[in-house]
Amino acid sequence: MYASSSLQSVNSLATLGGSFGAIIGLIPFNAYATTGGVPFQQDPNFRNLDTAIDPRYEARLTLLSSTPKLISRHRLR
Amino acid sequence: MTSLTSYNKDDYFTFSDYNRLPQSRQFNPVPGLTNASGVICDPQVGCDNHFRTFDISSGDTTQWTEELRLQSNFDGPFNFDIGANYLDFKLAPSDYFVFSNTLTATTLAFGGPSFVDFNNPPDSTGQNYYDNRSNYRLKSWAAMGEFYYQPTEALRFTLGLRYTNDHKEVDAFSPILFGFLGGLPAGAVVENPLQEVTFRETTGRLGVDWHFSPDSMLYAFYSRGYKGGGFNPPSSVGIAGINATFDPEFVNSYEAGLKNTLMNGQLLLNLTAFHYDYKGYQISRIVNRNSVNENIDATVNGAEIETVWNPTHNWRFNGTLGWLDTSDQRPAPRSTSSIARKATRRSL
Repeated sequence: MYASSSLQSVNSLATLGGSFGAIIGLIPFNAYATTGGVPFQQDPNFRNLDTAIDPRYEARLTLLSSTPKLISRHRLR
Repeated sequence: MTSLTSYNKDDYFTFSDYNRLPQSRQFNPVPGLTNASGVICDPQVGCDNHFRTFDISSGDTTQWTEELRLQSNFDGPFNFDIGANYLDFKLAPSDYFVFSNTLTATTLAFGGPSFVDFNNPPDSTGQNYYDNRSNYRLKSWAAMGEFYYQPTEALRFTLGLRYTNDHKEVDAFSPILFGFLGGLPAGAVVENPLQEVTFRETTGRLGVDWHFSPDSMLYAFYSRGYKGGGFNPPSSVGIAGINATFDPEFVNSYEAGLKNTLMNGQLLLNLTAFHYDYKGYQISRIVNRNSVNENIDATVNGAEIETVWNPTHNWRFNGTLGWLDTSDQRPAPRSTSSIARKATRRSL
């Protein structure tokens, strides 16, 4: 699991975008490999996110709640 | 009497690198699609000469809930806890887009620019990306009550009943990536017929607990539980035997146990044995890049020992020992027969 080979990248030819990219001649090879055919490796630190863009994560929560309680002091048997 | 009212509105949006790997080799220049450096300008991805795939996940949800409860505290042997609740949940819309500059280039090459969505953010009409879009609504109400009969200080019988009414609606759209290959006109959307289903179920429990000493309590309960069914994603239906809907899940539970507080409160010792009989147990798997649900029958037999020992104020020891004997009966792929699986596990 911690071997460097397990951190290699997906073969782009096995992806939908990569396979169509190969059909139209843009990337008729594994885009995630060097020209020598060696796959690029992902960062071994899973806390590091490799990305070509600045990712955006946005969430907004509005919560309104009400919990009125009515207690009867009249004792019944 | 207690009233619980809640309004919840939740919006989320994420935009991220789908492959999480910016390194890639440059595109080959393709006349008509790229410039001499292999750069292609994609409306959502931007101008680049590397293979880029991004995704957007977004959704808006609103939820109203109201619950009323009435609890008694009579001096006599009878008491009750009754109530009703209502839930209105709406998810509209939920989108999951996957963009790639190679998908846009393919659309331009085989379809033409009229099939490309030039909006950013996209408007869901483009055939140059994958969009899983749906609207979902759940309206549910239930009436429930527990009734207690306590003939002596130490003995208490419980009868619980619940009636649940769940109504679900899904308005799903089919992904139209490369729809032009099937003759879909530019700007079209493929909206599936509205799916709706209602589940009405009565469940409950019956049992007794007996405090046969100040420190120990024996209990035994039978319970029947229910979880509503629902819909599977349209793009997975018909593949590998996946149905458009999945059924509710039911469980008949038999449980008996002993709870003890010993050694002047220093030692907590609980023993439990149980048998769960599931009909239509809901499990998930990935089919055609979507999560789908199926039903299987399953049984679970188990026993647990749980102990907490506080010898002093500064020390606490926790111990749990569990034993599980499980089996399930699931449909075999491409067959009308079924496969029985059995497993036994112990944990500490």
